[in-house]
Amino acid sequence: MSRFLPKIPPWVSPVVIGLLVLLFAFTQDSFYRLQLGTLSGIYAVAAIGLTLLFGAAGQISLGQAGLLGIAAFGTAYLTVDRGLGPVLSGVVSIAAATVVGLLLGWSALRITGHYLALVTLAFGLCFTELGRTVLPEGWYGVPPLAIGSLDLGDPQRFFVVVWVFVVLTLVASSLLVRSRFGRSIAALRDDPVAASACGVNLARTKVAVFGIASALAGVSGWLFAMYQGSVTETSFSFTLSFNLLIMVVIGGLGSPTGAVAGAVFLVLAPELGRSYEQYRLLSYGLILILVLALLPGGLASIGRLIAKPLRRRRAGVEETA
Amino acid sequence: MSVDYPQVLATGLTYGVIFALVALGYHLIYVSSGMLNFALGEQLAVAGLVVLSLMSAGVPFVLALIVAVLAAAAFGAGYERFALRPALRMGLVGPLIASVGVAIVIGQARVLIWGPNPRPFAPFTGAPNESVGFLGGRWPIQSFWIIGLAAVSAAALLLFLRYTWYGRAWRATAQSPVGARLSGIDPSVVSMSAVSVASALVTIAGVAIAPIVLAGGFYALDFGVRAFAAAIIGGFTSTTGVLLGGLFIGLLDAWLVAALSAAWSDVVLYAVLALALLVRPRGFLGREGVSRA
Amino acid sequence: MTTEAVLAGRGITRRFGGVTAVSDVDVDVVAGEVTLVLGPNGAGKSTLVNCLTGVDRPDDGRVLLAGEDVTGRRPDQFNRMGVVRTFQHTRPFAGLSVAENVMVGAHGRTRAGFVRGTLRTRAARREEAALQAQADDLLAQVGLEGRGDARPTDLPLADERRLELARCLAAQPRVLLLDEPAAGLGEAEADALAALVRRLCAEFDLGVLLIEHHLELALGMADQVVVLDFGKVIARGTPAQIRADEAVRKAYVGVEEGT
Repeated sequence: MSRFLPKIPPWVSPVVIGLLVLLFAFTQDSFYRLQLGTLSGIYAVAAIGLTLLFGAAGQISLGQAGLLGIAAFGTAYLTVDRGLGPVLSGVVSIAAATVVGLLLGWSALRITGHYLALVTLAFGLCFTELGRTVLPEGWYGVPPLAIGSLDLGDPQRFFVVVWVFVVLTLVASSLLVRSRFGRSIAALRDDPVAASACGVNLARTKVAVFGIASALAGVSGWLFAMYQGSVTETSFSFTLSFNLLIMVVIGGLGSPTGAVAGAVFLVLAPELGRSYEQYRLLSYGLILILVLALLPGGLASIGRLIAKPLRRRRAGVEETA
Repeated sequence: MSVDYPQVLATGLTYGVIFALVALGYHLIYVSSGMLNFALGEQLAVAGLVVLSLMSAGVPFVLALIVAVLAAAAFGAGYERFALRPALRMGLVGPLIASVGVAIVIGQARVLIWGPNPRPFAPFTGAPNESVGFLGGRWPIQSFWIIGLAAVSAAALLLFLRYTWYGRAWRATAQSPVGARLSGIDPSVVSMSAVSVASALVTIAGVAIAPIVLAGGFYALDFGVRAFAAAIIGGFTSTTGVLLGGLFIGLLDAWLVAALSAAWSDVVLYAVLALALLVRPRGFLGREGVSRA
Repeated sequence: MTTEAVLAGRGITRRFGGVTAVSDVDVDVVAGEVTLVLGPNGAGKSTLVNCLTGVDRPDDGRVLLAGEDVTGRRPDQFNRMGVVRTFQHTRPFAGLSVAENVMVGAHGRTRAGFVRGTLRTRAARREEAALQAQADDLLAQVGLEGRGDARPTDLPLADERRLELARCLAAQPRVLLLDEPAAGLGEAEADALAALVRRLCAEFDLGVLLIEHHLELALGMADQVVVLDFGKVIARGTPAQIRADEAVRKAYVGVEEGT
């Protein structure tokens, strides 16, 4: 799995996406479409986390849904049962998800590859089962987002809020990937032995990247709780973990922009063929297989192909200058 | 809550041999190619449905079973070649992910073709709810068929692996793909046939268990994960290990359901799986991790 | 130039099951000098290097860095203490460019964590710029000038070995351990690499430990030689002394003179 650190400036895709989002926000009257757009943004945040974890750092997780679930349950519990404000509940719940994620990261120190996949799978399944046995009814009536007296729960406003998070996450991860830390996780992925010989502290790096991915999953879970208004464990089953994986694979492993594209694709695709709803999951499976077999670089590799001649032309201009 | 141990034995052994067969399938594939295959669980669930359809078309049961097994073998070879092997480009976890994709495709196709409701499957002999008292517990007649069929299949496979040319090729590839290639064995053929054989095995298991759990129910993940647990605890690389692991998990699961409840048994089992992975990934009988493409 | 060892192994012993791969080996690496560890295949050379760089932990014996006992520390800790190594089979980071590979080499001596790196603080940016400049400079020094944007997988083997050298030097090390750097190279390439290593050793006052089993090439580069056979030291001295040594000749019987 070979992936170059991108040479496109990190501000390009956030700006493009930001513009598209604003365009969408102010031209969509359809409540339904706005909701879909919001949902894809919520998943996009978690997908970016997973692409950093799996694509950039090479650590596989099949249990991200569990981390989203922890944050969502926490948010629901704190707002509904304890009357805490949405922001404070979010901070606490995201912290909880991050702590659990750090534990998963610690387990990644002992096992890698397949076994790590299975451990994260077991974690995700355990969470779902625990949710089903201990808290089967979940919570209703999670209040929409509000900061003080500023109401952000209105569909159009919440859509923008969610996508602000997406764009911020995108910017941060694009910067992260092009930094010393970004190089170290690529080294960790490509050759841990050589990475260690170059001075990379494998343990700290692995745990850190799990922490980042789970914090993002936590943010996603928090936003989801407020979006949906009700939280039950059925929203965080293995299917979600699998969907996140598909988003990341289709988008291109290691590419935050690709992860966003993958999330949008996965949430909006059913709309393209409404009468084919029953084929949706089936086609996801087929798409996954096809992408893995034919285009392992995902959508991001297409993006890079487009960007290459643009870059070369710029370089050419500089050489003759 | 008092536990009915003889019943735990009955249920545990019945399910345990199924877990053992599926785990054997994982073992075959893992040892020959280093791949983990998530799709076997779904293949287990769909087996009964295929046979039911064939029988409703007039095919006698035994012939239907044979056809289903052969079809599964062919299908297995196909998805190894076109879905799993190409995913190796992404590294060793590529095939695992691809196999999840295959599992989803099979599961969804099953619902599209046969509908979401599981279907009753007649036991091989006797009436559907007939059971026999044995060692203090009640054993459905089908249990004996299941255990017998599983034992025969496993034994046949073990003999096959030990004494035939194919078996030697499989073991050679397991120890050294390069060495195998030098001896004229093509590891990719061995890998493909491993998935083929595993698919056949799992299909037999699926038909055997269908009278008890109904054909086409949503238990693929449950069986699949428990079989993984069996393989982990017994040791992915050990044939005896995965078989014993299957029996162990079957008994453990039955005991947990009796002592706690079905839901809590899931929680505990998944936690046990995670713990086993963290503490002793190579299992009790396995050797140090084998990893190859 | 000091004659005291920068990196030293004392009584290094390592067993694998019933086999003793390395047995009671003493070895010194001195700044500005090349110490050669010779021996036929299976003599325990790579195991010794692994013990001296933290990749493996000796069962017995100590590893000393400028007199301090550093036995059993991790490889990244060794790196940060100035001990770097190359590998028998090259291990470039395939997903990073050539220049980025070199920059990773400096990971141990740089400090910007993921927070500061993402926020692009002034300190982080200065560090990045310095790393870029160093990478360009080192690539030029090893003869890969201008190849910074290439993929390591596009490089021929000889250039991959130069890349690994540049990556090692990015750490500004005191000690460099080379595990069969000439393996797979033709005569001319191997000579060029040898010349490069000698020059770098002198220029940066590095202590170099070299494992080779290409006899002629290695003896030409070395200041001191240690010969291993079946994990034990069977001879020690200058290249001239080793050339004349009977025990060495016996150990190498059947092996090369034309390899």
